[in-house]
Amino acid sequence: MDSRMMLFVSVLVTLPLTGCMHIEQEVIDEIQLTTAGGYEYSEDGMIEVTTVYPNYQPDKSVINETLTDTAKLSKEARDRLNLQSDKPVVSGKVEVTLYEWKTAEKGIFDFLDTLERDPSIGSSIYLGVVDGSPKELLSKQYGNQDNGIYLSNLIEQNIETGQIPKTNLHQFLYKFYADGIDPTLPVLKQEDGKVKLTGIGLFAEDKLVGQLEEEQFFTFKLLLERKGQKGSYSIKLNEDNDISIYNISSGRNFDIQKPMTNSEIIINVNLKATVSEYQDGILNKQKTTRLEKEIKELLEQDSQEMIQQFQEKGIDPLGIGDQVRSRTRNWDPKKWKELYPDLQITVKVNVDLLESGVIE
Amino acid sequence: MRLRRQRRRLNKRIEKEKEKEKEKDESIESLFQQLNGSNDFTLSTLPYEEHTLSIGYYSTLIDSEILHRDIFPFLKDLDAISSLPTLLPIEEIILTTDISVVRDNLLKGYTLIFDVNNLNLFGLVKSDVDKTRQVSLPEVEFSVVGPKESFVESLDTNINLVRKRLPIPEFVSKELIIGKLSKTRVSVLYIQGVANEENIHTVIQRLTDLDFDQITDSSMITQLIQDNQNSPFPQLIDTERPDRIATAVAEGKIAILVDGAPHGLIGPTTIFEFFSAFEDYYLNWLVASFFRLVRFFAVLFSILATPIYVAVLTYHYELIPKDMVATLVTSRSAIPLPPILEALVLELAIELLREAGARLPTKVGQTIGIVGGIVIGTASVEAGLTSNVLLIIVALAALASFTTPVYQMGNTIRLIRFPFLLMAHYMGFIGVAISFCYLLIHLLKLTSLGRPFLEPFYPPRVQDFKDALIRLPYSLQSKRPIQEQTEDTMRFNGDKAKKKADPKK
Repeated sequence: MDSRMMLFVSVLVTLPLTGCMHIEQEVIDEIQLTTAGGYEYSEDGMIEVTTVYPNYQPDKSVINETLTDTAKLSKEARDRLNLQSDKPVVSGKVEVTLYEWKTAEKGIFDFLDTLERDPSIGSSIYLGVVDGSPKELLSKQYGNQDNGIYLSNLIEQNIETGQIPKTNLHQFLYKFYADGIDPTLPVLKQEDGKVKLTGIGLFAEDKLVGQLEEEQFFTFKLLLERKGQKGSYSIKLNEDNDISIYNISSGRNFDIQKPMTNSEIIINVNLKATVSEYQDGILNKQKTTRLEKEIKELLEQDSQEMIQQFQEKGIDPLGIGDQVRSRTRNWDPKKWKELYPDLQITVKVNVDLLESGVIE
Repeated sequence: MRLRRQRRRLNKRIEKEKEKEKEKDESIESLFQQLNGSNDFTLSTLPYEEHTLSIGYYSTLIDSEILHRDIFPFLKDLDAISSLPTLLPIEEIILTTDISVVRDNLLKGYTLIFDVNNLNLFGLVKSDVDKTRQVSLPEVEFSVVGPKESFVESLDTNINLVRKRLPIPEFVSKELIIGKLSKTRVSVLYIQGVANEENIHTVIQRLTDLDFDQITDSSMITQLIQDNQNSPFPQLIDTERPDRIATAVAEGKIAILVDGAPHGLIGPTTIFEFFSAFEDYYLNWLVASFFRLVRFFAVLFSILATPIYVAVLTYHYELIPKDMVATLVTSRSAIPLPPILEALVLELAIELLREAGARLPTKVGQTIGIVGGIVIGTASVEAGLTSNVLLIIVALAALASFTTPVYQMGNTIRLIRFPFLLMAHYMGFIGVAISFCYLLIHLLKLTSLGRPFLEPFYPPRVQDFKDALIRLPYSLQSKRPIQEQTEDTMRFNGDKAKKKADPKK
């Protein structure tokens, strides 16, 4: 008797509770699944939002369709997009959001706010800067694929194979909120119906201030990651002597003798690599030792230049400040900001060419 | 309340006494009058020189060969009824003066012999016809390895099948008669000194207290004596394998065999035992454990796959991996029904197929399976009534539910999927979670002969895990399960089992 009463009461309690949950049905084929969004400021300071959604055809092909509208807020724009759509526009499957270059220069934090707030958007979505118009990039068709998934795969693939450092919404926000480290984002460019990763956008807080070129990716990744692997690097040793090496494993550590002073900061990089292409015949031991030295010098030179560039811009994408912070009691970010541009930062690279392939 | 109960008890006692008096009043004439109402009762008189004998029997209950070969030729040398046991080559002969004994035994297939001039002594000769099925292959719990005998509809044969596997005097078979009309013989089997006394008393008490008119199968006994009759979960294992009964009894469990039922019952049991096929004990422990885990996974899949599909497609599109979105959306795009209806249509179609297959003769049943599975499935996808992804999920879920070795549990699994489905449609994953909570709470509360049904998980008993989700090697199974609370906990010497007994070279 009492168990039946318990059952009755608990059913009675749980059923009306669902009234408070406001769970709306979102049947998958009755919603417009947007997979990517592009943001740019129009001339009058309004936001122009472009979203792309896949239109799955019965013959399994995908046609990408875009919706564009302008509004003051990005969620307001979504409501306006709904006016153009036959099904409610939802954002739960957004994989990539893109920001136009000039918009990014003005700061993108306002756009990120809605991504942070919306529980249906995961923190692992990719962000990117577009060199050109995001609207144009998103309205192109890239093979028989959904654009959002195509772009997300493009970025993911390059992260996994070690071309660019790991980046996503979570990473961006972490580096944005953390002291002593600045975020980076991949830069995409659309040319002749193809998208290319052309650079790594450098941010000061949430404002884009510059970018790293393709050739600098390897060095940047080497300095950024405490433990890294994958990624190849091509070096021009002299006129007709090129070499390509592949990173087997790399390690980086900071040698900070006196934090928060003008004393030198040393970044030690240990690179174990294999020769994947070499244009000057057979490699023997002496040659390898010489090559190791040459590569080391080149890498050190590149790194120094890169860090100098960062210091000039007053940005710290490598997180040197974060390293200093972790070694200081009562860290003062203002003081660090003053110190940083004039700091002596030295990179010491140790190259170890472990293998040179199977040529006999 | 109490007064009323007392009065009822008093009334019952009075009725019983009245019945007894009636029986006493019964004379042989009134008995014959009653029996002659049935056309298959034969009463013939044989006038011999010295005396006139009368023979009465049910022609449908007795073996006429016994009558003609072992009774009739000897009767002319009979001098008195009292010498029947020495005269006839049959060992089971009853001499009685009690009319009620005469009646009961006539109905069991005895032949009544008496002297017309002396109505004080009746001879009853066992001559019942023993027509039962041959012991054949187990069909419900078939196994590739291991004995291939299964129970038949005769209680004696069945007990024989168990007793020859346990030839010890401690192995006891307690016989009870249940059913006012059917007078079904029910045997309770256990090993004295191993099985827990309390368990034995529970079973016997529950059986003797049964007041039912007709028992035709052991599954009725399960329903009548199990702890919670409103639970969809059976609380006694139903098996057709004598080796399973013998092992269960040796483990300290109690078995119930019912005359006329080709299945025996085992208790107390746990839910995990329902998912262990008996073949698990004949295979290597690694292989057996793997198959068991596969079966548990199959059960979870069977219960949760379709509800999760419905929940995800109705509420949680965010959860779909990006590479699967295209597949799901394309398969859904042409379908006019919401996911829940789509799922219900397919689930019911599968249930229809199963039901049709089960009710039809084997050969037609197979055709139905093929026609239903292939033709209806493909046709409904092509017609745009169901999506092909769901078709695969539902078919796999149905297949998974058939991996359950105990048929009754398989039915339960298929039934409890429907509340999950409805809740998935109503509230999405929260609904599935709530349903699962209810299921878990129900299982936690369930008992089998008063022993916890979810053991060894609740109450947690590490020792009993050796034969629950996985089956560890026999050398580690030296103790009987705690679940059974056996009088003798040791199966064999565990220390000795770990030693290699081979002589060293």
